[in-house]
Amino acid sequence: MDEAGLIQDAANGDLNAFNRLVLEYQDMVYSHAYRIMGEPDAAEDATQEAMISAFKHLSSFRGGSFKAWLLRIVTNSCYDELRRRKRKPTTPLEPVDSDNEEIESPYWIVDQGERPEEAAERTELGNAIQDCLGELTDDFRLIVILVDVQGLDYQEASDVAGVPLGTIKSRLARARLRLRDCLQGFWELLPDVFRLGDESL
Amino acid sequence: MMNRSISPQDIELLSAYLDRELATNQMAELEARLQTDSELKEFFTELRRTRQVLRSLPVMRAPRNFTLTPEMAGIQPRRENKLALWFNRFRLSSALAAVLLVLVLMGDFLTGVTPLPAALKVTSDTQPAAELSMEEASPMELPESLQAYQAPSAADAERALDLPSEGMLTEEEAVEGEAEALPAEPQPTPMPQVPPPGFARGLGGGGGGGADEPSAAPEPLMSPEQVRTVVRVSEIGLAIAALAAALAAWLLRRRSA
Repeated sequence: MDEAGLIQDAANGDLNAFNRLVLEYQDMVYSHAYRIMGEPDAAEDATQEAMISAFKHLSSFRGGSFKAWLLRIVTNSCYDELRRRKRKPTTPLEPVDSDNEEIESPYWIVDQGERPEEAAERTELGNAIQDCLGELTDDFRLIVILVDVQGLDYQEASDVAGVPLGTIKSRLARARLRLRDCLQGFWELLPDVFRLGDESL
Repeated sequence: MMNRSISPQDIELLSAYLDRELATNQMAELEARLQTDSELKEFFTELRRTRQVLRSLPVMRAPRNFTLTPEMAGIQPRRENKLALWFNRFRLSSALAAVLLVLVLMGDFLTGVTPLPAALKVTSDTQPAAELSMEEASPMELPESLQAYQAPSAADAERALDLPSEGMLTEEEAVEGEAEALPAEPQPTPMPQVPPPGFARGLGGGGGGGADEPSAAPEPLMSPEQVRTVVRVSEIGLAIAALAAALAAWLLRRRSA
């Protein structure tokens, strides 16, 4: 795939050229959105918005890593959605029924999380990692996803996140520390190659 | 917790060391400490394992294709805007053409451009028609220049009409012959393609010309027949333009619907 040629054609309004780029990168973009949002539906919406935004702003792409540029756009889409959710909480603080009487135990106050036995049954390492990522703050989660999941170097992560290199280093260290603590209970789920600490990985 | 004795600065150093993002001297210094500090080394091992686990996460497959349609890319709305722009242009053109057509028709009716050809047709007929026009126009009411045209008898007019056949002359030649004969003995013009200069001015009520003045009077820009032709062409053109623009606007609206 002649990526530079497709980008040039797409920047000139060739939608077919852009869609070829979409097919090439959509898994990566969706995966990134899912790691940040933690929900398939929200990740889909963010991915679609990111693709539309990328096409409309393709003229602003000044070369370099197209993957990093796309990651920045989908990251912005995810953050927009996260900010929207924080501005507009949908759960009422004082739940009342149709007779205006306060409900003691509305369904949305009841813990919808997994019961201990359910959590014990869930053994997929990927879900465990996603849960641990979800416990991080948005800023920490983004950095660790960019560097450890997407494989960007510090400078690329700095460009995508829009923060200085020093901030990348500190946030990444603290995020890894918290993930290490979170994953302590899942070490038994790891394949032997991880548990033995194979340094070749 | 194993990291209680690890300072935040060391955690940051170890994290950066994992990614080879340390300066050479920092790297050498940390490697030396890792050789001697077992707790630091164990923490580093766990940190590296954490990173390995994160890197093992597979890239998820997109649940569907996220290719863009022209509508999503904002291409279709621009086309619709363009269609709407042309629809408005055609609609406005149709309205303007219709208004102009009405104005021209009203002007045609009010100024009497339409009856004029009928009068001209009458004057172009043979003797009875000439006599009729002479009777309708009283000598007392006409200027002298026109009275001069009344003087010839019907026989003279008939003779003038016979000229082309006798002398094998065209109508234009006949008229020219008449024009040459006018100073000596005014003769009625049998088929006046273009009336004498004083004729049109006399009809217009100018009335100031004498018998010698017609040749000096300014000629009208267009003959009545030409005016009539221009008006007719304008009416037909405006009607066609109004209909064509309305049809184009209608087709555009159907296409964008």
